[in-house]
Amino acid sequence: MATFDKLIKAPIPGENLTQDPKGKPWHRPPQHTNFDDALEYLIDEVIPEKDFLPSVIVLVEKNLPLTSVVTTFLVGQTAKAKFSLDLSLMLAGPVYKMMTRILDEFGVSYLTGFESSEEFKAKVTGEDLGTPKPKKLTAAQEREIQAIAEEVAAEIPEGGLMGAPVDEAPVDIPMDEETEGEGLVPQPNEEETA
Amino acid sequence: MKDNMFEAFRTAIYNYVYVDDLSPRVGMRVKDMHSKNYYDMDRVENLVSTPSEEPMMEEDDGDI
Repeated sequence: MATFDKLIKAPIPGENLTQDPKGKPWHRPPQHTNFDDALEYLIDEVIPEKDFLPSVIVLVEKNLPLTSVVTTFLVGQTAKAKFSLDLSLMLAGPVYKMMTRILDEFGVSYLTGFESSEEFKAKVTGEDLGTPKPKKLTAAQEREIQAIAEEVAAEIPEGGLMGAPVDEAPVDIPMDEETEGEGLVPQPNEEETA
Repeated sequence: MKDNMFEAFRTAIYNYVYVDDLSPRVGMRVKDMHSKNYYDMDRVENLVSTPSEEPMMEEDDGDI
């Protein structure tokens, strides 16, 4: 009988076309057009409401991501013509930041909305991921790594201009007798300057 | 990649919260956008003050 009552109270198809489109709040100009005014409205009037924070805490404790909660909240405010959807996109970040700080202060664990699938699964199932254990190499992998290291060490050339330095005696570069004893920059003779 | 309102909200929140992890150009754009308002990033950060962050007042014994 309850289903039949709902069917009777359901709207007639096409009934929405007979209503005044300007009757809905979201068809009217928004109340706040400035970012600062909109944020002050949220901080002073909406967030301090007695049902707001308990509702948010209940939702995040049921593993609803905080990004979804903030999105739904701001879209709801947009539907009430408090501010436009573009302004709500700008407000999303600050509102999310404030909510994270409030929830951290209450000690409520929540899903941020940016977790990986493994972290999400661990949070939902209550499993502790812990620190990842280092993977052990098999004997074949260790032998391969050792062989590669030996090949790299064997290929390093020694000696010559491009090779690794080798302990050798310094090479004497022959110089002319006239310029012997002078550096690369010729110095003027004292007899010439005098 | 999803292109809808919910993904736009998620991206906006991510860009605000993890602004330091973004590329320099994108991060600068986000910071500039919010710095034009009275409630910029620093002021929003200090909006919710927690008791653990409040400075501990030293008690004066008072010398008589």
